[in-house]
Amino acid sequence: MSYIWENYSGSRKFAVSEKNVNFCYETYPCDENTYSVNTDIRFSDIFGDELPSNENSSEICGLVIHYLAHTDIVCGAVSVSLCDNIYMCDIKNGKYGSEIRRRFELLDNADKNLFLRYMHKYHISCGRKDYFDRVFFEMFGKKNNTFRENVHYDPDYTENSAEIYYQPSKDIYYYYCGADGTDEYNTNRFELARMLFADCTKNIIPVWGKFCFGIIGENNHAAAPVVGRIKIISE
Amino acid sequence: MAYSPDIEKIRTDLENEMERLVRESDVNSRETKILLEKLFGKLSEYNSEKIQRLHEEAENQIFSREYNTKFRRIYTALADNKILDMIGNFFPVADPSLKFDIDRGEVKQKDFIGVFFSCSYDEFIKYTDSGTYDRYYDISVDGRDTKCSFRVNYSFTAAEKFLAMAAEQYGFDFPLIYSPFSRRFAELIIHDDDIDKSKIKSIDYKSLSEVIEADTLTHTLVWNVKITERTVPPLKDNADLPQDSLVSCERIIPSKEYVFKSIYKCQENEYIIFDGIDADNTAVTRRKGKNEIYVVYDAQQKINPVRKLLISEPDETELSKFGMSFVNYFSPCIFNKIRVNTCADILYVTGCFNNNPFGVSVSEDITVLRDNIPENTISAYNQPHRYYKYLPFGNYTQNKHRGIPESRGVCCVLKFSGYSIFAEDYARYVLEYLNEKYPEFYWVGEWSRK
Repeated sequence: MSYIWENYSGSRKFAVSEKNVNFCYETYPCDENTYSVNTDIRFSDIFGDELPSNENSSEICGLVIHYLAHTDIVCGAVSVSLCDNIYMCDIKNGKYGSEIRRRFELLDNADKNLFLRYMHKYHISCGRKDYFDRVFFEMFGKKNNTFRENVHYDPDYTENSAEIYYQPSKDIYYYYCGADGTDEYNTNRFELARMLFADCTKNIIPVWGKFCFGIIGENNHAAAPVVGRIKIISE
Repeated sequence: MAYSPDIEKIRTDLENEMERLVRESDVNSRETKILLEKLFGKLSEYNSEKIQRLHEEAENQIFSREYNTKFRRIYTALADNKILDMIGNFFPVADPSLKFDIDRGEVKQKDFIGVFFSCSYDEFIKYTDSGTYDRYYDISVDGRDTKCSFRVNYSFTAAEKFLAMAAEQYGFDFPLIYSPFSRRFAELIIHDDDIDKSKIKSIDYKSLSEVIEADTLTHTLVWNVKITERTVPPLKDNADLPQDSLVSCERIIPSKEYVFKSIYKCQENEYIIFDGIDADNTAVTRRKGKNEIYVVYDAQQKINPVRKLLISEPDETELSKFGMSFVNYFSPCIFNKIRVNTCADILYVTGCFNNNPFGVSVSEDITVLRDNIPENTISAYNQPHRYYKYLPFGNYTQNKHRGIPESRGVCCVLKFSGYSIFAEDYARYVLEYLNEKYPEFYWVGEWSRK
């Protein structure tokens, strides 16, 4: 944690740190609920020397820093909501084409928010190519399935029921959705995610239905070599 | 439309409210009350500053993408010489009769006659190839029958280099000009020594009259750009660069290393072009509401203003005087796409060219092909006619060398629809821009009409 707004809690106590200490972090924990704040990093222009750090005024200073943390959070939230609205307007105004607009309209609110959030991430990353995989896992994965018969598996392998396999000989990515492919809602959001986030030069094939993966007799869930979250298979 | 909060009012309201709260609070100590008043006074300033920044950020990222710069609209049109006095915002693009003489510099060729074609570009190339293949055409000059041929003239496309220079210096990334007639211009060569070409009054093009729109005897190609020599020294050297109030769409953020700064007097619709400027080491930026531009450069540079571009804003009355006019139509997206990877990205960037006044549209049916290019795609302009030949990074033919290695050979096929003589020109205008800006694909076009 380095900023006053990170992991913010109203019950936290802030104390202004003494001068000339800890120039690396804006805030750092002193004990369980008290955090020391270096006001020089961002707030010296506001307060100058007027923010005292003596005991008499510590309560007031704590309140002031809470106020500042709130201001940061509000500004951040406004920025994100502004961007979300713009993405939404762009989609509704057909800037991404009529097909994307149609598919987006079919989503429920939770999925709309998911897509808008990832559109923002995709934009600020200047077009990173792996967001399709992330959206795919968020939509079709089972996050809590990390334990089996009291054995803890690596979340990379087991956090999702969805799987991605790459077949180099055919240069095809198989997206095992682990979901019902006859459900139009599922196919719609897969296609929408593909249009919005997938590298359009990739050969992507969705595979619907439930499948078991692995080698017979092997207990290890991850039988295939993994690069990132994609398992490589050979013929 | 930009949302403009009344920052000062927000600040005053907050200050008053906090003052009231402190005054009415249970705090007994006078010193503490004073401290609280000071602290909340500072906080309200900080708050209003945050709101202001948020507003500016939104304005820079979103609303200014509407491109308020005067450079956004460059019109070209073929104007009858009789109306030149009535179109004050338009100026001749170039004087094609100027020829370079090694002893005398630029000299005016009195017997020069240029011809503007209105056929397709491929047909234009066939007609103007006549010099190569000894193909002659019958015409009648002041009632006398004779033969002629045509030679392509690049004077008008050469004049576009000033736009490219200005765009590079001021950081514009939209298409600069759409001018089909600059790319349909040829010199008329009359094969009859008995005709005094400087005294010709009218020419009847006979069978060619269907494909010839006009000639320079009666018409001039004009644009709303006035280019003048500019050698005025700076107003001030070593000036401080303001960190705010810079026109967001007309700046390149300078590196801190470059500390030499000069201010030049420059109207809002003026663009000074500097000689020997290196865009990597120099930045030009304009201040909002002031008729000044700042030039930031390093010790190795010696900047020298050479030209000034004045961009006028023509009104509807002026535009209605032309038979047809062409504008660099581009409806910018709110978010600038740095890279194009996904199907949605392609639709987003190609959508900027739809709803244009030329009736040509780019279909949403997009094909991405790997390792093969389809046949019967829209042909490219010849090299001197291309829009991006002057920019240092741009080279349409060497597209594959500019792309990131893994994208070589990936071809994106756009389908265009619409019909007009210049529809293919618009498609080329779109494709050249996309090839220049997004080299991750080799962009080609097809017609979706049967």
